[in-house]
Amino acid sequence: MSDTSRHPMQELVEEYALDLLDGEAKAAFEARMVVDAELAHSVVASREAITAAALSTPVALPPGLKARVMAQAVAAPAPTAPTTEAKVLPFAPAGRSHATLWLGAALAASLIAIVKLSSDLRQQQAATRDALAEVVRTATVVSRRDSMIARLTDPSLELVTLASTGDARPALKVYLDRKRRTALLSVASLETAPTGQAYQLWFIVDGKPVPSVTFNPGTDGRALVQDVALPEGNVVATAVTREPTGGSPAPTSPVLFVGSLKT
Amino acid sequence: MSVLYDRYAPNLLGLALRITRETADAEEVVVDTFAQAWREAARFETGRGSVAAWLATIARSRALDAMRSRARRGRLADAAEAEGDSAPAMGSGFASPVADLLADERSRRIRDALMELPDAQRAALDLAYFEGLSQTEIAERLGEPLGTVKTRVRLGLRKLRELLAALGPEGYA
Repeated sequence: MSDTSRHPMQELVEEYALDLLDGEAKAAFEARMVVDAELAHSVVASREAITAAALSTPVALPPGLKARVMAQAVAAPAPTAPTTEAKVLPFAPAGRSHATLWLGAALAASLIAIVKLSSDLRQQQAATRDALAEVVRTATVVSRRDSMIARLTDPSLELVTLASTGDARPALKVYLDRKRRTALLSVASLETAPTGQAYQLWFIVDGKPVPSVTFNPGTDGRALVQDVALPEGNVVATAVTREPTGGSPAPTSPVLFVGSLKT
Repeated sequence: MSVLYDRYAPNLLGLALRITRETADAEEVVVDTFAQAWREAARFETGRGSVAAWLATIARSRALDAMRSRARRGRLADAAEAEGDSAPAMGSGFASPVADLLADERSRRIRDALMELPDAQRAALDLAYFEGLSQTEIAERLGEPLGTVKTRVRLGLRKLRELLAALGPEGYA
């Protein structure tokens, strides 16, 4: 037995909720929904049901996705509340009643308050964006460190400790990740290169030095160079020389540090 | 935004993956979804549904756009060929297992409820929601009369509402 109290549009709730109506049918449905709270409620309930089903397969999030989301959000314009344009009222000409003058004064005070609130809101939005930007920067740093830690704890990583050919105090280590064709250079207790010069890393492949990155430690003698690209071929050793800033295609000075890979 | 992300991102990524079937596209959909939600936060009205439904609507729309764009570029056909038998079967979107599905009691109960739907109804809902097909297209795809498809969609979603209502008021909202 059919329910005669139901409006015929109720039969279209599911199709509307799934975006399957279009054209006149959709327009008629939406027009009815404006005056039929029960119909609108049925649509919301149907959408909630289909959403719950669609969201029922959560998956593990990849590292770094949150930082991308936050960065994108910060890059987008800040959310704004719908604005209402203030209507500018002309000042009342002389000779109007006191009531009109008071009304004018009250309106002016209201406008000032609106402008002030508006300004406060903008400041708060700017502060929120700054705070979010800081969060994103921090998340990015943490994400990079997480990634670095993961790589450093990879059992397939190869460590090369570079021995000094002179002063033995500085410590230079190169972590080779052959799977990803990258390396990480860690430097401690190394004096800053003279002005116009920098240290340069070399990979030894087939007995020949292949130029790599240049670097310079900070005043604390430390440097950390990530994502150094490994050259093609079998790297058997690494070395460091001092070169003109910008580096050289071939070593122009004696090798300061050298380390061989265990084979 | 961070709170929203922590709460809904795993579910939204799952939804996007089921539509796009490509990890990179799905991640892009999640990024775009939160960016759009951030831009349009002021327009959100609680009376028109939950936050989850609002985010899911954005994500679905973005994912379908991504899929259509990919299809236009002809990559979909190539990807389907490359995937071969590993591609999800038609109509399996609402019930297909995902390799790295997170343990979640509520989600499991919803998926159990979905499995109570007759296969034909679930397939019709699946094609409408995850592939964005019109009812005419669904009828062509399934080789069924249009009227049959309309009935399956209507009965399927009504049944789903009843099943989920029986799970209680707790939801994704």
